Amino acid sequence: MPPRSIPVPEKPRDTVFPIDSPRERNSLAQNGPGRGGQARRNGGKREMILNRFISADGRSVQYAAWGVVLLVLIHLCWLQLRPESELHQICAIAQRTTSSRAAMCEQIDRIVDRPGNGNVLLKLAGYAKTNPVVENSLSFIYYRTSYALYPRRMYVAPADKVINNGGDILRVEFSPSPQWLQEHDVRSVLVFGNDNNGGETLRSEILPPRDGRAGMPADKSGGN
Amino acid sequence: MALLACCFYLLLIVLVGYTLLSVIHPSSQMTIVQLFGLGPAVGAGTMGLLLFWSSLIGFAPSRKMLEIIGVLTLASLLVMKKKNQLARVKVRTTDWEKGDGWMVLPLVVTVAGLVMIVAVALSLPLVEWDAFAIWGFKAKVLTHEALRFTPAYFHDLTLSYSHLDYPLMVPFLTAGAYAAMGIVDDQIGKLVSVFLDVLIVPMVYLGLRWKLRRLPAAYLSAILTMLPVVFRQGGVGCADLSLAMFYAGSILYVARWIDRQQWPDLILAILFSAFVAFTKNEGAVLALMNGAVILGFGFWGGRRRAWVGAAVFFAGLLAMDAAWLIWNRSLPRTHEDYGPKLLSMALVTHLPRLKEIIPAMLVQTTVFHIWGLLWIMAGVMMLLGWRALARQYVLAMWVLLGMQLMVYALAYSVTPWDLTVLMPMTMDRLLLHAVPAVIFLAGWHWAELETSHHAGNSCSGAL
Repeated sequence: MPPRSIPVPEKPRDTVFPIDSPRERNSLAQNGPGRGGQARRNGGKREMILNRFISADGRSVQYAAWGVVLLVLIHLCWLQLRPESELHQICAIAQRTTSSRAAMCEQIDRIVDRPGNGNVLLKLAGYAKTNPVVENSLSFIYYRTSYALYPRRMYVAPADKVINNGGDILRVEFSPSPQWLQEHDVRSVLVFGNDNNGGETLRSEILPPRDGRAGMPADKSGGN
Repeated sequence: MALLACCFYLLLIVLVGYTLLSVIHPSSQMTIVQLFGLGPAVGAGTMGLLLFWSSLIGFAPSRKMLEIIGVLTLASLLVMKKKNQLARVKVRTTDWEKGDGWMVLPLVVTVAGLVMIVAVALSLPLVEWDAFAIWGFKAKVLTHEALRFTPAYFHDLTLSYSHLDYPLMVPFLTAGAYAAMGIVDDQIGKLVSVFLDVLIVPMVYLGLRWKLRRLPAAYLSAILTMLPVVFRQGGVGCADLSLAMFYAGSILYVARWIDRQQWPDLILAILFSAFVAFTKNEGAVLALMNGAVILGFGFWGGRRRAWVGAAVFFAGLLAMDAAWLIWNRSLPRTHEDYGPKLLSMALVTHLPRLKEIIPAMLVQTTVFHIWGLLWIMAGVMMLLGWRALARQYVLAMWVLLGMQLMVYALAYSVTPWDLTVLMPMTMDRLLLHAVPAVIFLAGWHWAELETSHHAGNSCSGAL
């Protein structure tokens, strides 16, 4: 937008937090609202040097400012219209057409919903026990199941082990005894492993009831 | 039904904010943007702290507690109405200037952008890693248990990945929504996250309108809305955009205090700084930097009031966040724990890493598909409106921006993570925190180009 013509200066107004201090009014009266006393005191040298290059009073400078801002806004709009833009990506995620992460979340939530009450143990099977390639998936599964299960618990390590990622889970090689499982009210096991095609699998196994607890029949669920 | 309950909860937040603004500045006039931007921002931060304090004394967020807060708020409003102290909403068409009709364009762009962010956020549950692993998880914990007897979660090292020591503003606000709804539904609960994130636009607009005419302020706000990084982070359930929103409020009122020394500005600077420190760990450093700048510019100006202001700022900040600082001290830290590392000799030994970090940060600001031309625009605006550098509040903002980027660079230098992995993953989020300062600077330098009439007449923030 082109800048407007210069109207007559008037006293500045501030509705919510007004400029009313006498000192400020004096400063405005002496210097005008557009040029503070500070500017006069400190800016002398700078003004002389910079005025040679950029005239602050020039109309062309104001046009340039508008030009820059409009360019930035148009560029941003153009960025959003591209097929690979953030806008298109989040639309795709919202439509669940390309989001493997949303699908994974749903799958994990479904699996952890099945066993009913009690805590869950995460167990590694096959090459997942040692292969660092699975660290990322393992992190995701642990984070998501812990979130989805709460206030129930997902166990992957003894309480004193620091777990920050899937690599930590691999290193712990947690294999608790049946007594430990009983003490911690673990009623099902989530098994993370691999299938014959090298894909990652996740399945839930419900532990048989112990001590007359209301357990559920052994069952298997889950998939790739 | 749950959605309705969540909307009532947000309405309560707006009311709390409006009440507080009326208390801070009785009988003032308030614009629509202040009512729906500043008010909700103050209300959200206050609600988060209230829920935290009551959880500390043994009451987890519940409908009953929200009802109590609602009744107290309404009672305060009634009393203030009787005393004629309520802030009045001002809608005056006489404020409009010739050419403001062009505001339709940035307004359409801004609204379209915000609608997209809200629609997408509400169409999905929490799927972002950090959103469910850190923030969503904490919200669930806080919904179930009060903090009086610290929940086992906060000392469970096997859950260390969820950063047990992270501040609890966003989790508490989300837990409040769950309490209002009566169920834990993270898809509807994301409304809180969206609400907080979207507020950054009116907050930045308010800061721009302090010095800038309505039309250019609207265009700069539209630029903020259309930033790809805002689309990426908006409403996902993380705390970064919320932090940026509160930070926008804090630096705006720090700048206003430095410029005018009005007590309401200082009170709002304290409030927003306290909210920032309770939103993310970075926020604690940012809040302290706000205080340092107030103190530094107070010394520079040599005004007694400015010194007193700095003392009041630190006292207020400490009073509001003391409970969090004390309670948080006993929590286990992860191996990251940047605070002590930044204060140790490790900082000195890791300084050579800055040779790698600073160029990476500079390169990041020119990644167009994340930032567009935002950072370049700020530089160009500074050159065009260079006279603004003579103003203390503009210098203060540059100092704040410089210190913020420096602290982030130093944090990278002491990180235990591999920088080549960590920086690409996190740098856009960190630089997002600095966006309000960048846009304020662009706007305030631009304001220097405007005529004296425009600059003087633009302080109200009127829509």
